[in-house]
Amino acid sequence: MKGYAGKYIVFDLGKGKGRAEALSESVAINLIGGYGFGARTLFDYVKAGVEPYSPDNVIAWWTGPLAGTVAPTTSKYAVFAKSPLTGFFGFGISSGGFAYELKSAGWDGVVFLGRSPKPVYFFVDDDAYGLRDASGVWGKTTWETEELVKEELGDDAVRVAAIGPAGESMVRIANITNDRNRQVGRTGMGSVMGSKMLKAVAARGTESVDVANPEGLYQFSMELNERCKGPKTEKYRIYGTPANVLVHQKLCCLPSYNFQRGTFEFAEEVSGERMLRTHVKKVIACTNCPIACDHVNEVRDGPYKGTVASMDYESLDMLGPCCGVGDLDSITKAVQICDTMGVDTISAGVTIAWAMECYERGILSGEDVDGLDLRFGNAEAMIRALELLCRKEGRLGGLLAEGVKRASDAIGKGSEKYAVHNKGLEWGAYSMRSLKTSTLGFATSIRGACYLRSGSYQVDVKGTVDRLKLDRSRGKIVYEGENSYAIIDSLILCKFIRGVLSSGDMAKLYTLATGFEMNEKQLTLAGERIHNLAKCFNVMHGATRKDDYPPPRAFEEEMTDEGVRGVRITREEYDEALDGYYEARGWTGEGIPTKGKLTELGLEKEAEGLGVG
Amino acid sequence: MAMSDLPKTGKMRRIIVCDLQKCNGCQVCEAVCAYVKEKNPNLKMSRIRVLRVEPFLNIALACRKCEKPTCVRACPRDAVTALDDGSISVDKDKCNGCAWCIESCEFGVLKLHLDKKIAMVCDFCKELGEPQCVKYCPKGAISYTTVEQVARKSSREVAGHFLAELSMSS
Amino acid sequence: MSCPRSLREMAESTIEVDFTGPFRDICRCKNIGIDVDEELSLQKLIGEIATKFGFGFTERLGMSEEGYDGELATVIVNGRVVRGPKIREVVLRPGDHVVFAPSLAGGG
Repeated sequence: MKGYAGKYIVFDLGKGKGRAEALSESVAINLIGGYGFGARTLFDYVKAGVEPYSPDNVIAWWTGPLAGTVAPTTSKYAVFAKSPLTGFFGFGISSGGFAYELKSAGWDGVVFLGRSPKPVYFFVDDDAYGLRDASGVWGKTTWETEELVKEELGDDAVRVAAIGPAGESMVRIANITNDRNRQVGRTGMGSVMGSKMLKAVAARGTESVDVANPEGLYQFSMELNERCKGPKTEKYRIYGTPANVLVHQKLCCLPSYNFQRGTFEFAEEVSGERMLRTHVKKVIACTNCPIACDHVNEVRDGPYKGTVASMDYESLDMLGPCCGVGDLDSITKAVQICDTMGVDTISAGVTIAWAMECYERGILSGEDVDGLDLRFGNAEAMIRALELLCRKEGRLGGLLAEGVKRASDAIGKGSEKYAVHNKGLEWGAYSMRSLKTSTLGFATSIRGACYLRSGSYQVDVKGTVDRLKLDRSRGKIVYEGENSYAIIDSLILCKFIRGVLSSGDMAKLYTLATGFEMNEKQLTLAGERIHNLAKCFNVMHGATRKDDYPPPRAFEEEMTDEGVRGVRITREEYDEALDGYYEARGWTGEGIPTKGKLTELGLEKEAEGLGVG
Repeated sequence: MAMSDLPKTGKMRRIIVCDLQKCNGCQVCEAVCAYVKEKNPNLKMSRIRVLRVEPFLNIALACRKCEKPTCVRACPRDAVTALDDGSISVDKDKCNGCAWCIESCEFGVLKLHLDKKIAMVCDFCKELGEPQCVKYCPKGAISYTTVEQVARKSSREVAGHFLAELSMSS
Repeated sequence: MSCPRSLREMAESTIEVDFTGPFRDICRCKNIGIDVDEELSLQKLIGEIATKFGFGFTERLGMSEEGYDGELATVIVNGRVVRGPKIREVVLRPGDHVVFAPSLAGGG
C-alpha cells in the first residue's frame, strides 16, 4: 500500500503479546484514516455496557495516510476509547513529532486491548514492538517521563507520548502529552491509559513512507508551504489563538465567571496582544509544519518566575476569565501544572469555575473545598485547587477530579444548574448564548461539547447568520461542517491549514499519497460516512436526542453584558434548529441514523447491528 | 540563483547558517533534504540536522567546511575528501560504513545512510544550484552565506541599537 | 467662539473605533475617536484609516470588490458582526462603535 503503512498492531496488554494485522484496502478507501479508523475500531471492539475503566475497553492509536510524508501539518495522531467522562465516543488528536515517528516505524496504528497487571510502557522500534517495565517512571510528570524514557532507551530522538500522575490515578479528565507541548487533550483518554497501567507509548521509525507519486506530492507540498506564508495563516503565526480573547470580548462571547458572562473586565490584561509583549518567549512548530503556532510563555518575574508553558486560547480562557483570573503569570502556572501532571486544561478550568460559583453561592462549604477561599478571581486558590485535582487529594481534589458532571451529581443541591457541559464533556471557550450556531455544533458533537468537530462558530463570527437567533437552517451548516472536519480529522491534517486548502486539494493530497482515486465528492461522502459510524457507536451506547442539548445555563439565564442583554436560548428555537440538524443528517427526530441513511453510506451491517429501521 | 551564477567569495566560504532567533524546529528543512537527496522523506536521511533543546532552543546544523576537516583525517580508507570549495565528498565505493568520520565530526553533521550504510554529508545541493533547505525554510531562518556576513549582520544590529540610544540621549 | 461642549455632547459626536490584534500593529494604537457631525459610511472610515495609517490596513481586511474577507478579519459595528459583502452598505452615526479585529483562530 502507498501512503498507508498497510499494517497495524493489535496488542493485548494483559497477555503482553500482540500481532500485526493487515489494513484492508476497502477500509482505507472508505474510512480514510485517523477518525475513520478510530470509529471502526470502537464500533467493532467496544460493545454496549462496557465500562470505560474495565479491561474490555480498548485504547486505539491511529495515524492517517499522510503521516510521515512530506505533506505539511500531517504529523498527527488520534487516540480513541470509550470515554470515562461521557460514556460515549472518546477521542482526541495531537501533533508534534510522534505521528511522523510511528508511521516511519511502519505502522498505521496500534490497538491496545485489556489491561496490564503492572505499570508498563510500549515501545515501537520499526518492526519490533513490546512492553517495557514502567516502574521507573510511574509517578513522574509527563515531561520527566519523556526524558527518562529517552535516557533508558539510549536515544534522544525517540518520540514519547505519556500520561502524568493524574492519568495514573485515573483523574477522569486526564490527558496524554507528547513532545512536551502537545496533548490528546479531551474526553479522559489519559485516564483510560491509567486504568490499563499503560504509562507511555514510545516510537522510533527509520523506514520511509512509500507514496504513490513522490514528485507530485513533493511539488504540491512545497506549494502548500508557500501558501502558508500568506495572510490566511497569519493569525496563528503572530498572535496565535490567544488573539481570540479580545475578539470574543468585543462580541460578548468570552466565557467568564463560569459562563455567567460574555465579557471580562481584565480582558486586556490576559489578551493575546498583551501576552505576546510580556510573556511569549518563543513560537515553536510541530514536525513538518510551515505555520508554527505554538506560543510558549516564560514568566519573567513574580512568584512564578521561570514558569514555562505552551499557551493557547482555550487554556487561557478556561483557567483565566472563566475562573475570574486576570493574571497571565497565574494562568501560565496553571497550564504548566496541567501539562506536566497530565490533565485537560479546558475540563479543569470549567470544573474549578463550577466549584467557585458553588462556593460563592454557598452550595459548597468551606469544608467541601478544604478550607480554600475558592472565590472567582482568587488565582492562588485556583492553582491550589488544580494541584489537589491533579493528585485527587483532599475532599476538593477527589470531587473535581471527576469532572464537572459527576462533581455536580455528587453534590446535588441544584449545583447541576451550574455545571457547564454536554454529554459530560466540559464546554469550550465559546459563549453558549451569544454564539448560537456554535452551541448547536457543540451540543450535537459526537464526543460532547466541542468546537473542533464542526467549526460552526465560524458562521456566527463572520456574520453569515444572526448569532443571537437560531433557526432550522443552522442544522445544515453544522452537518456540512462536521462532514468536512471529519475528513480533516481522518487524513489527518491540522485545522490551521484549512484556510489554504480546498476539499479538492485534500482529495488531491490523498490520491498523490495513496494512489487511490478520490475526488471532492467522494471525500465529502467519506466524511459523512465516518461521522455516521461514530454516531452509530454512540447510539449503541445509548445516546439519544436528550444528549444533544446545551446545559441549563444556556436556556434559563439571560446574559447581562451590554450589547447582548437579555439574550438566552429558548427551547423552541433550539428544538427547531436541532430538528433541522437531524433532518440534514437524514436521522430520525430522536437523532438516530435511519437504516436508509446508513445503507446509503455503505453501513448496512452497522444498521443491522443496531437494529435501526 | 544558480551556483554558477553566485559570485565567488574569494577566501571566504559559504556555509549553511541557521538563525537561532528564527528557527522554530519545524524540520521542514529535514523533510526537503531527505526527499531531494534520497527520494524519501524519512527525516533521519536528511543531511541537515535539527536540534531542539527544550524549551526554547532550536537550530539546524549542516557541514561547516572546516579548514582541517576531522572527517577527512579520520577516514582509514581515504573515502572522505575535501573539495576545493571546502565541501566534503564521500566516495561511495571506498566507504564501508565504519562511521569513524561521523564520530569524529565535532558538529555531528555527518550521518550514516540507513539502508546503504555509507557516510553522507551536506553537499550544498550543488547539482541543483542552491541549497534546497535555504529555499524552502518557512521562516527564512537558513541562509547559505559566509560567516563574515553573519558577523557583519550582528555588528550592524548592535551598532543600530547603540546609535539609537546615542541619538535619544543627545 | 462656541461654548465648550460637554463630555456627553462630545461622546455623542464621536465614532469610537477599536483595533485588536494585527490592526493594533498597523495603526500603532488601540483605539481612535472620529469626530463627526453627521453620517459617515463605514467604507469611508476605512479609507480614512488607511490614509492615516497606511494601506496595509485595507490589505489586512482583505478589501475587494466583494467587501472585506471574513476569513481574515472581523468587523463589528455596535456589537453586530458586519458580513463581508455588506461592508459597503453600512452607514455610521455619531455614538457608534466599530471594531476591527482578526478573524477567530479556532482550535488550540
